[in-house]
Amino acid sequence: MNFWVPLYLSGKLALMTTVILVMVAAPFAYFLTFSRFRGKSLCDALINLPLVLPPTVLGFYLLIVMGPKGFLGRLWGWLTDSSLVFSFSGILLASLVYSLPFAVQPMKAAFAKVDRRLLESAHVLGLSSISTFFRVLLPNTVSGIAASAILVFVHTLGEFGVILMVGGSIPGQTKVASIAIYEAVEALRYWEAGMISLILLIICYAVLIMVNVLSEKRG
Amino acid sequence: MKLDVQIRKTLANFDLEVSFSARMGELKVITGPSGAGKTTIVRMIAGLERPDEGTITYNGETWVDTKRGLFLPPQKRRVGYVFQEYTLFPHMNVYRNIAFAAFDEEDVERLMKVFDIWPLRDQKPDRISGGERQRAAICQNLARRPRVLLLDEPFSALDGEIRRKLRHELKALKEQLSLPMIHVTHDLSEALFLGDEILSLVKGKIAQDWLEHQLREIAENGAWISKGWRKTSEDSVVSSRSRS
Repeated sequence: MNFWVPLYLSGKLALMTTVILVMVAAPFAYFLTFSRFRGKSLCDALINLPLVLPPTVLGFYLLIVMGPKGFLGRLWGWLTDSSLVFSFSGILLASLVYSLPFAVQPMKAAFAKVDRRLLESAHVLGLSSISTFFRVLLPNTVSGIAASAILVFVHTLGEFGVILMVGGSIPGQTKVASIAIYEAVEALRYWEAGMISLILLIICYAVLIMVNVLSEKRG
Repeated sequence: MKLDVQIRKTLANFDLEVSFSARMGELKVITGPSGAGKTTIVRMIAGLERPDEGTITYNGETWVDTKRGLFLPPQKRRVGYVFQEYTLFPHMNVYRNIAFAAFDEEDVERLMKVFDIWPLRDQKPDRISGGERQRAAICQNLARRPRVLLLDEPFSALDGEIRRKLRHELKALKEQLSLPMIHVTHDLSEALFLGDEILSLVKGKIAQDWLEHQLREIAENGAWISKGWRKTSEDSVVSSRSRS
């Protein structure tokens, strides 16, 4: 039953992307929500670009940047003496870029809902911006952060185009579930494609039920 | 030992330009019609907004000096700021809210008992009444042992009876505290009841004639003063001050 390996890779990729993005996206979301600076809309649009860009286009540019002659590819090669493209690290990096807006947007929406006076009150009470972020903002936006994490996880589970462009289909390294389904269908192995699809469907459905239960509990 | 404020700021419809001082133990009320710039003044004292020009000093310590480019952030001013609406942190219980920035955690219990909210210590802010929340907000700010206490329409969201009760509590508190207090309100009876000095602000400028006009209107217009209201202690303050 070799379909467990792509499923494991997808799960690992989704989990790592989620953990990293929740940590990375929070400061981005904070910055975009509360600061005023020139070029904010340009910055916002840049982060949101993966939402509208065809995955193959994004994948193409990532391939150029992460390739042996690209800036990131050369830096990675110098640091690790290995190739970034066609590796798990490469598809992880691509996933982070591709899913960034899915992490930032729900957090931005959650941060914007917090009453500004709470944050001002924290400042007046002596808290620095960083302490206010951890002690006031984050505890009051748990549901937004959870929504962001779930969205990133589910979105990464289903990634196809960008991963295919950057990682190809190397079994055990970059051949994630969506690529395994595509290849199984191409090879007319419908039972295998059906099994992987069914497992993904059950996971996604379970996650959505969890979201509903959580939001009902939070009132 | 006093707070000196000399500030100018261009707002959407007018220039806000005021100059005043508040001594230790003095409760200065800023009153006036809505949109006159009252809240902006206290926000600038708290460090939440910057004036375009001017200085704010406390006991010789410069908080703002636009000419010298000095601006002390709100975290370093150690002021208490009770907002118009409740700004207790919803994820903490009442006790944790008050202990949040307390100078000494031993103050927390004492203050909560003084303000009669000790039995509510384990409750979340959304489980207590408006009056209790505002009491807790005052405790939260006092627990920090502020150098200046700013109160921005702290009772405006409360109903009449609770508002009256809290006014009396605040007046009693004022006698115990030796710090400058700035209280913003558009409620004249509150201003007259609490204030050692009242500044009336109209379109960003101190205009004492507005206050005189309002008081004359109250005195002359019987419709403003119902019989029941005349009987309150606030009314005697209104009458005596309006005559003088």
